[in-house]
Amino acid sequence: MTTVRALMRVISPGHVFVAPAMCVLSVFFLMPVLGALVMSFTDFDIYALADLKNLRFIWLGNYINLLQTPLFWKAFGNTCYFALVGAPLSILVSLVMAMALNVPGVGLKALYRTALFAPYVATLVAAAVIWRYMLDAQYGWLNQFLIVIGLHPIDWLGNPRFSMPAIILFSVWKNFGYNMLILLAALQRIPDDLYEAARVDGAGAWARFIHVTLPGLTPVLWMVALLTIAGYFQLFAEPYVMTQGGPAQSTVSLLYFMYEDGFKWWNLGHASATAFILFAVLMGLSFLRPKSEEVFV
Amino acid sequence: MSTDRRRFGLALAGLALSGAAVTPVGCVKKHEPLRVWAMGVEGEALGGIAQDFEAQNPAIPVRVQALPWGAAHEKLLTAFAADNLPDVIALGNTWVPEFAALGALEPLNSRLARSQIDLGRYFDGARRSVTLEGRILGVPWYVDTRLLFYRKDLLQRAGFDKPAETWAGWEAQLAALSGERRGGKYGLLMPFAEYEPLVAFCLQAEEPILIDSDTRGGFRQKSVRDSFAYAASLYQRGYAARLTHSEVTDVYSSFARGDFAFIITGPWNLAEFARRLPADLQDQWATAPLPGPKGAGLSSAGGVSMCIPKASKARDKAFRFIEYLCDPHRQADSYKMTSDLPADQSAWPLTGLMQDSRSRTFFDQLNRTRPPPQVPEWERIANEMVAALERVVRGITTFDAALKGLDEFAWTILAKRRAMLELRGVA
Repeated sequence: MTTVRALMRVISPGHVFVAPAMCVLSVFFLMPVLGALVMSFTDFDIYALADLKNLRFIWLGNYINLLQTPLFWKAFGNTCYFALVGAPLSILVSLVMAMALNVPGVGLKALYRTALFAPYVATLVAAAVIWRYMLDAQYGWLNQFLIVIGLHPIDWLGNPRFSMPAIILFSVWKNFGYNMLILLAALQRIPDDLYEAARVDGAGAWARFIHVTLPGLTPVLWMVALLTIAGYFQLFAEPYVMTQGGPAQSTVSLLYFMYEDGFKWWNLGHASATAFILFAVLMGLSFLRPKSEEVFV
Repeated sequence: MSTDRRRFGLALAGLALSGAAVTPVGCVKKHEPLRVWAMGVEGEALGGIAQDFEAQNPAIPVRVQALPWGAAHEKLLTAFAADNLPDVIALGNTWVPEFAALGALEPLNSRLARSQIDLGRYFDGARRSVTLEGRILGVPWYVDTRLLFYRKDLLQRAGFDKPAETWAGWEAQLAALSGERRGGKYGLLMPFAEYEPLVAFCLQAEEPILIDSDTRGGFRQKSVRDSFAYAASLYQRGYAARLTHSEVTDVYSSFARGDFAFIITGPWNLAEFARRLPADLQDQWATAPLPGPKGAGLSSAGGVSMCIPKASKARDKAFRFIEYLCDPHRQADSYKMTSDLPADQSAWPLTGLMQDSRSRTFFDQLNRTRPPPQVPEWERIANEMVAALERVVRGITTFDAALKGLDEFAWTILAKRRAMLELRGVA
């Protein structure tokens, strides 16, 4: 009885309230992750699926093998390219659009806001299929437009040099709406007095942007940047629908590599190891943030 | 098949497949229908045949499920992991070795010996594709191979009355049909997304693609190397466009426009070309055997076979269904529905196939096929082969480095197979 009473004293109602959620999380998230971690130390493949006696614990073997696999590095490079070019571009577009929507005196704001947010809520696969047609080398209107303005048409999805830029273009279009809304909310939180004071001090539009708008947005910008980069590192559906990793494996992302490895070839051990490397990269990225929110303000 | 393995397999593999619904193991009750899985349009056509079968065998209800080709492989492996395979699978021949390695397929030797199915009448390539170490793991249902489809008028205009049968002769024809003389057009369409043409050329080599009991790659052997070099030269000399995919640009209208004169493709296009090409072109296309190093060459043996999973509780009924399905008359019927070429040669005269020179070319080519290496890892190696070809042709790597890379790739991929064969040799 005393132990129960002691326990009751330690357990607060808060614990009881979070318990159901924690149970669900541990069953459907924590345990699968631990299972995958164990699997990443084995050579689980179709032979092991046939007979467990064929399963060998190879500890870091998968990881060492991955680091020596050219396609893994290619996929890693492609993913970094996509995330490090695509994410800043996406945030930039979101910021520009948010500021444009924030200009006072522009009519039909709700309409513009909805129109700009629409790509984000569109189904990714359907949008990607449409974009595949728009990017088509011969009939796509993007190339027709290039011809009209006097440029050479580009084989967007067929040329290894342009396939990734094409996918970045698509992703930026698809995703900027979400960040735009967050940044718009943050912009509206910056008090007008600050702008008025700056104007009185003789600051021009650029100076007001640098000294009032940006500092006001910094905390939100950090969060947006982190979420966007983390999201962009998980590139998968775009190449899966638009290019199947080609041409010349120029759009194989880490997740696509993992998917093919795991679900097409059934090398689940190897694929789990890839997942944990991606996990480590994303964990490392999330530590990249200013020590306090005031640093940049 | 211990429950232990199942449990572990489910604990690890099943967890990763959060999306896949793991339904309770299908234990067949008395009137539980026979479950049949088939891919693509064949899956849909099978529904009609199954109804006829049910009419003759009221005690055996059949439920056919059509799977899309793209998702079939994953679905089958997931079903195996979940112990939920159906009673009959129409399995692509290249997947048979994989499911054999899983121990998932019931050998049919003794059943076949007692049945009316005479595998002797079947195309040799198809028969060999489903035979592993003497065990026959499936009954070929329809067959597939790759050969040339070409434009007669374009070839005549270039000064040739029939397509060449040798590599050298074909090269001369392609040279006349590509580049300046045809306004920068190409003679051949051979996108990198498909590995079959490259594999077919490599199967023409005297030496096998995989060596030492299929435990390592033999890409640097002289004849395999020559085949690979020949395929690469088709792009390097400007006979084929360096295209990855062909699905966006419409192949049929492109062929009708004369963007290319030759395409290496399979029997389904007999019906597609007849349906999709404009009427004035219908007399202007034909088929020809795949050119070989010295005269009409070999091609790859493909197709789909009817297999019975070991785990099925209704294997006898399943075999009755297969017997019904693979009867020459039924094979001829399914040809009429799907235009798939029957695996049983005696079904051919029951259709119009022998009267048409285009399909007769397929008959001849089907007698000159070789199955690709029968290891579960094959599809992966084939994919890497065509990726290596693309890298060579696009100038990302040199020819020698690519072949060395392929041998290394095969060495790594086949490591587990080597280890297991050694273990079996010791034990």
